[in-house]
Amino acid sequence: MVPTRLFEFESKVLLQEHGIPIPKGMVIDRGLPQSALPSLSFPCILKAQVPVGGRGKAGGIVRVNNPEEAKRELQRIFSLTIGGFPVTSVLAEEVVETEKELYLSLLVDRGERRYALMAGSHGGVDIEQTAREKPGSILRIGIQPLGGVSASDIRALASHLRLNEEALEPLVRALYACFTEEDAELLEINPLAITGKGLIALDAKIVIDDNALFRHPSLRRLPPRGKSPEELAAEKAGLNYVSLDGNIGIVGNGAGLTMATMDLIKEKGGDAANFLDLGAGARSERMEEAVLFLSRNERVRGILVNVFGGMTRCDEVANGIVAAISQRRDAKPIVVRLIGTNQELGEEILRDAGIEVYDDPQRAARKIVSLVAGQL
Amino acid sequence: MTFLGRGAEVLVQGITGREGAFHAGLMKEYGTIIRAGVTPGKGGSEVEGIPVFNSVREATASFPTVNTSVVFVPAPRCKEAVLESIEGGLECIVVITEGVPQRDALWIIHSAQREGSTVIGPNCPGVIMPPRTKLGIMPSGAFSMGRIGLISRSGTLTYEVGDALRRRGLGVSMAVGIGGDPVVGTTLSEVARLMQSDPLTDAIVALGEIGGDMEERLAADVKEGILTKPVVSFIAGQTAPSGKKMGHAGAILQSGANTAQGKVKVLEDAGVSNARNPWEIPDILLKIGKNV
Repeated sequence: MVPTRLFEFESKVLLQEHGIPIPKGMVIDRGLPQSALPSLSFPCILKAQVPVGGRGKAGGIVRVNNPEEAKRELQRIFSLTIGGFPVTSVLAEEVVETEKELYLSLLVDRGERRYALMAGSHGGVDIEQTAREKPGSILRIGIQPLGGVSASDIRALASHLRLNEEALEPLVRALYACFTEEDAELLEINPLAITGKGLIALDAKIVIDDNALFRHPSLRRLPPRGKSPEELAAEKAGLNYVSLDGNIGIVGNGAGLTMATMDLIKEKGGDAANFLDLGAGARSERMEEAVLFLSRNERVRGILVNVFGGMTRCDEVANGIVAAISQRRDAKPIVVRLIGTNQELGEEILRDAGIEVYDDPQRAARKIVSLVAGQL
Repeated sequence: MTFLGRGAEVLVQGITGREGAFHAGLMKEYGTIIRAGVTPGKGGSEVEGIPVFNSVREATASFPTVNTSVVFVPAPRCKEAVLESIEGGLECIVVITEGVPQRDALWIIHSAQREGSTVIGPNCPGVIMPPRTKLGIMPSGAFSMGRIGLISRSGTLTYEVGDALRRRGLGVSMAVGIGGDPVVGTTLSEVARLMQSDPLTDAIVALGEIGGDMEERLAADVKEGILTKPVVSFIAGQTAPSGKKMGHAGAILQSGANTAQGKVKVLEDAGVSNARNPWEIPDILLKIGKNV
């Protein structure tokens, strides 16, 4: 599953709920930019809300000094598409005078199987470059999941950032509480500003672990994002789908096998149009939907089904394919490789319907690659 | 890690659920010694002839030799269920459940480390040791008995390769699906080290995929001479688009790791034979000349 990346303003709402200071601001929707104007105070910063980085460089962040400027800039920002995402909302925030900008983040460290707290004394968009050029400038502290942030962690952090522990401790504790209680995979504050009024999170990025959405009903209601219309349609159909650039549609069961099938197509000289994982124990209806879904896609010139029946039964798979073929309007070639549970039944169903079936995936892959190449 | 499945006497948690009941039956049919099942509130009933208890404590009181649990409890209650088994002193806990939040997985993994239990999974197909021990959900027909240790991050690929080996007259000493989640209880390297010391295993097959650094750690074990048995690998996802970037933080923390190409290079540099596709693996093994 794709983790849910929150917009900046959504991330900031979570931070504020956990007691972390953020700038005063309001969200303006694309539909109603005019009505927001009277509520703005100037100067203020307008920030496009998109779930990708590089907003500043794309012209999505601008300072405005009066209502005319705000009106003009809002119109401009709402016409932008940043990293493939049209801007649908803008965060208008007060201008905060900063003394210094820091970097602070918490994330799951997969390799070490614990959390990691990272801090740098120079925040900003060039943080990755800073980390590469001066690795010592970023402090990394491993946090044990059972114990949480310790007093010595706070001490090390305070000394690295040259802040006093009393100022830092409540903020770090609040951040860790926010990170764990909201089931975040990533919580990044960049920059964290030192101001006359204390520490303030000027920008924030939170990525939620989708597996934990069952205990966060308010986050579950957020509209999906970071997915193409094709991917959203697939999700609606209950399919685990990612679109790619090639022209051979792939249906597999299990993420590993489906990826290996894409790789196999490449090895045999073709290019996969997608990743489509039926998941465990798929019934004929899901298989049918998968084939129809790929048949409707104009980019797809042929389909390779590669299923190893464990929990999934080959007869169910075969019935799904036959049902799909009887309904579809196109004549894209379909090659099926099918082995495992109820293999003989599955083979019989496919042969009766005139569909060639393979048990060797390498031969099946070569076949679909040559069929598709022959059409072009 | 002490053992994985040899001499297992098993408890099935979540045995009254659809998946739990179905696979408890299949595991038993394969020959696995299943002593008891646990589902809170269903104590006193039976599933597939297996007595059901309300808690791990009650089950182990009646069957003190139980040392392994296979967990089917749905994600929202999975953590509590696994902690019960850890506190009950079980040596090995195989978590089949998918969709377990990372925070819960980390809590489980660290609790198990503290108490000396081994956790496999979550979101894994489990462990199979032909001819008669299965702690999980793999289709047993795909595996025959032999001397190859098979480890995999992917469920179906485990079956694929088990079956490809079987068709070429090769078999497995054990096949371990470690689970596909970002954090799992036992890593590729940890299982490989166990297989290194296993007298019934001659060669190791490791199936990795994009993301994380488990394959890099496995390669380091080979390079450092911790693994001296032949290792054959396959990395799925050569053509997969790079995953969603985890902000600056992810880039800083795991610079360079994660891509399929990078993993293949590190493995080959360490002396591992990397297969271009999973179906090539039996040929590579036969060439290496072990286990014929």
